[in-house]
Amino acid sequence: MILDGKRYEREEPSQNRLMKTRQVSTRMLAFPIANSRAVSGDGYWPEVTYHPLEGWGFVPIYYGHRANVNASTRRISSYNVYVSEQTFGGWVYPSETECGLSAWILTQAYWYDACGAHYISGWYSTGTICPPEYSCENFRSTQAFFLGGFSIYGSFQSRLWYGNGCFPNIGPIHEIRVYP
Amino acid sequence: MLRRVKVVLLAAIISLSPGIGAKILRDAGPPPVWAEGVMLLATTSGTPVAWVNEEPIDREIFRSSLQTIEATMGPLDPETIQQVFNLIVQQILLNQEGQRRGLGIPREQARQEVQAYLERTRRDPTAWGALVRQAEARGLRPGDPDFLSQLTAQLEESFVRSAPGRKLVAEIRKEAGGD
Repeated sequence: MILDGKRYEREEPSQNRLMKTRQVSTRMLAFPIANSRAVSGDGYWPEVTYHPLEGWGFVPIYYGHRANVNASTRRISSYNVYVSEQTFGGWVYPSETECGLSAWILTQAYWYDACGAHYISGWYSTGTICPPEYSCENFRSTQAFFLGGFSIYGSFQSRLWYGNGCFPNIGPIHEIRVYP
Repeated sequence: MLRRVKVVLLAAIISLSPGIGAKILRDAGPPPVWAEGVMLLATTSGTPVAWVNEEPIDREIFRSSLQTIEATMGPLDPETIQQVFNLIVQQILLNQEGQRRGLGIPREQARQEVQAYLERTRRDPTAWGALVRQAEARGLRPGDPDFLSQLTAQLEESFVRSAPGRKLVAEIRKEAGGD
């Protein structure tokens, strides 16, 4: 077919689709699926707070909690990484003491990429009462993120809430970093 | 309950020294200077720091509480000291209300609670160290062979005395659906 002095050849739609698929496949091969795993901050944290006790003033109360985090990443193009299946769980022990009920408070998930772009997204749950020695389902987040850049770092933060009968009633921030 | 509360603060908190007293509620500048002032106040006399419905807050207990927290959490700042004071007042108020409702626990239950508490506390060196410092402030000597039994006896007494307040909190929590 000749139009405006140029030659045009009709392409079969199926061939075209195949070609595009091949291109994408090539790129996918260059950036294969990779699973992420927390490599720092994962584990057990002991903490101490203080409870007022008549006749003593304050006595220390010992808490321990464990956190585990997981996330999967999949590079879907050279510029985009799909992050999914984030989980953040663990247990708080004991869940009920002189301080009241203990619980975890999750802060916002905060992500940034190699290009300097920052992404902040909330969790489905911002906190829950965690039974002793049980993984807390409510801590799970299934949100997915699309991140720009060639490398990602994920940062999960949590605090331990001691109830209102102790000092301090909120523990220090614990951060868990996830590397691709 | 709050309307019935008459919290009378002594000079240590309000007016012993205009300069130091004002620092509790206002910016105190460098915390160590203020903390030093509080420690000075805490040791100036044997009078109570405050009264909560005519019940005294022992100066020595307030002082040792601050010292323990300072030793484990770092220098005290005005906000921290205020929070510590507020919690002690809150605890006394709850206990008074619990007593009014006739709440309490048998000594045997207090004994079990103390044993469970000591077990948990000994798991962590920081918590155990802080408790030992509290014990020292109350005249117990960690080196003594009967230190643990003395500590247990003193804590038992305190658990019995603070039981009405703790039981009241548990009842309120139960009424509120465990939250």
